[in-house]
Amino acid sequence: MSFISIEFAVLLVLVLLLILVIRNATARKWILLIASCSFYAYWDWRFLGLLIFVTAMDYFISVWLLRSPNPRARKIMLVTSVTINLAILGFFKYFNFFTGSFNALLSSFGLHLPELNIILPIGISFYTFETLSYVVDVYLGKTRPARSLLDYSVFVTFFPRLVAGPIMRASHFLPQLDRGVQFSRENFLRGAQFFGQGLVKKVAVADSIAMMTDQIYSIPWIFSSETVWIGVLAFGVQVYFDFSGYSDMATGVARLFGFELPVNFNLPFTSRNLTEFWQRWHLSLSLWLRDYLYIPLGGNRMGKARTFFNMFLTMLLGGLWHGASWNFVLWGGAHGVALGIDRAVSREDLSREWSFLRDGWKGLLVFAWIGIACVLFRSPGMNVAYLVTRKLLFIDPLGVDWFFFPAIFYTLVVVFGGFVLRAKKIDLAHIDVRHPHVLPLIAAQYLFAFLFAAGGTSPFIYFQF
Amino acid sequence: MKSNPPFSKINFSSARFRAALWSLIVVCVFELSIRTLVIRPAMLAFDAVWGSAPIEGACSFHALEGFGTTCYAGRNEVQTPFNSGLPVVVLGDSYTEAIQVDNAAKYVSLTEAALRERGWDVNLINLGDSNRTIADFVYMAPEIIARYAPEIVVIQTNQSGFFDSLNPRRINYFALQADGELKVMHRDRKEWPLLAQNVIHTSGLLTLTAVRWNQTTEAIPAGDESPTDPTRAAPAHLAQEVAQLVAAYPNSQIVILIIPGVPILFPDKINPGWENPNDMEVLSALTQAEKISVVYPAPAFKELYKKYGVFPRGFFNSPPNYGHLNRYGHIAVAETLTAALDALLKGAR
Repeated sequence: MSFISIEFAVLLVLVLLLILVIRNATARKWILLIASCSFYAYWDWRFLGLLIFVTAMDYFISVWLLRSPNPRARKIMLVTSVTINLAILGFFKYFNFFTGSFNALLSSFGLHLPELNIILPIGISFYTFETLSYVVDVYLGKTRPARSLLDYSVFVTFFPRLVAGPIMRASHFLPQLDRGVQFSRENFLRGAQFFGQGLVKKVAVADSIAMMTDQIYSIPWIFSSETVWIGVLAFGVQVYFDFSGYSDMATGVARLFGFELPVNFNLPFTSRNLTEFWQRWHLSLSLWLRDYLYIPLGGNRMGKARTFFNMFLTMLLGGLWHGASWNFVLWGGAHGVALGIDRAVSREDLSREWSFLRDGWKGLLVFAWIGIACVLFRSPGMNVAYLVTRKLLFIDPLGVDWFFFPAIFYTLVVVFGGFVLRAKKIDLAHIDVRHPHVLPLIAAQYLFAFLFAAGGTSPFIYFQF
Repeated sequence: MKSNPPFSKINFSSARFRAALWSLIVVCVFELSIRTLVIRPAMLAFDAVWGSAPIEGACSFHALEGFGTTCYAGRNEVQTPFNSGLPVVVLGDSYTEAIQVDNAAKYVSLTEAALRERGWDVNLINLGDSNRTIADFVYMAPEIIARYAPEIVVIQTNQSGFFDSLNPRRINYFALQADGELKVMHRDRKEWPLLAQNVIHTSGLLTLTAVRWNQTTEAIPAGDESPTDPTRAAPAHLAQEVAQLVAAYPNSQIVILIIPGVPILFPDKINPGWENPNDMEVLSALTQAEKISVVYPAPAFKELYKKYGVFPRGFFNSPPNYGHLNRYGHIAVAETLTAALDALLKGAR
């Protein structure tokens, strides 16, 4: 069930009405849980069992971890949980990737592993990371376990961010759940503001650009090099607005119930270098990788060479997290190398105030690099990535010139709009929505999305992960 | 970050005034932006045949695909450069009305100019109107003959023009009779009062809202895809529809212009054979029909792409080769149509 569907609107209204009528805190949690399971089952009910299994397993392990005084047994339980979680993720997401790669490599020796017809359970990458971090945090004593299986189930399945994040930490959500569902005029307006903002980002901007970039990445060889450049750069904005639009909508829906989700994007194209970019792009994943992969690997505490290696490995695995294909591995690897170079070369003081004149061009460089690296991210196969790259290098410059006006227009608005917001220190998330005069501006977002929605709404890019 | 004041400190009488002011500002910004950048509709009048249609001299501006200004000579006639000569009526849908390009660049205008250059004193009357089908052209025949007495009737259509003719939810449609024959049926158009329509059409914001609303609500329900849906049975009745057309315009030479659905851009290739199966189905039925000429500009489209590297459809603000004909597409269609009409006129002489 997509956020942009009648079915979701019906579910949302129903849940809101029920929660308004029923005041009991536990009953409200049950309503949220049932709504979340219905939301998930609507995609594919067969995987609801898997979600329930993972949730129950990690909850009981965390309870056991809390009660057990035996360090060795605790460690075994932690390893068991991590192994099962990763095995499930690995089987559903990576089994065919590894067997396919193995077969391609060793088929000449007569070796062949069977490939299975596996459907990827939606949201598995997101909820697996959440349950993993929960168990690890409980083990380390960084977070307290959920008060009940019901609380923990609501945390894992909370429907606004179940299928595509942001990746939540228990320490962020469980205290909010203790406070319970909180209705207020401010929450409602803030939720409406975020949802409208996400709607505009998705249906008006990202989907309009998608109409162009889909062409570029389908049949790149028929377009001129200049046209391919436009499409490649615009895709950076598309993926940003597609995903941040989803995050905004998720934040908006969660806010209707009084819950705050972690911030996932913070004007990433105003970044002064790549280090800053990853502190502003898909923050919930970046922080997860930092806390549960990069730092345990040693972080930057073990010398320069090891720091670069840790960074590279983290980005490589981050790439693989996005999808089971060599494109994503290479994409992650490219970012790992670029980040290493950036770390070695850049002397940027990120605590310094951002200035339009001094830092704008750096933002443009970061933006250009993200677009170029996205060739690997977006291409349906390595052959297409190769063809697009040839066009970018003007090796095959001839082809149809297409102006792609909406893509250019939206790209300029998004990039330079970001500059203005950062230079003027405008934070749209903190506008005082209680003022009546903000209402027309919130309504204008919905009107804009309705009037300027692209012809067809494409699925959210991050749903496939 | 500045912290927000407590709720009790908000001055609501002032805030409500600002809310009203901001609402007005939002509406004005939308209206001005839309009228300048998207759509500026024409004023309408009621016509017994066409329903509400742009009044004489009305012009509209469109930027949904490309930029085009379309002016009307009344009764939905899109203005062409010349208004006298042998009447040749061109009936068609949005490809003929072609709001995406200026009047002079539409294929009807280009054909008229080209034929005149070749010495033919012809007056091409552009009656293109979005969403028209074969059933409309048959139903309107008596009125069109009475108004224009055309020597030649060019009917621009494509597969859906034939198939949708059997859709009973349309104003004019073919109903299948018990004896297997088709009969054209007409339902009175349920329109808003003309004044209300004109109020809506005075505003770009309201017009675009109405356009979007129709797009959202007129999506074909799943039920209509069933095998029992009359439009699904349409291929079997193509020949009958053509026969109805011929019978409706007994004193005119009929030319059927099929706008080719090529080239098709597949996810990983461009269609190599330059054949659209939908077109082929219609063409095979038409080639068996008598008393009609068929014009199919696919070779001109192919030449456009192969020789000049341009597509016949799509605009700088829409995806390549999707949607309506661009100015290159109109040139290609006009070249093919001109050659066909030239040959027809020579034959008639």
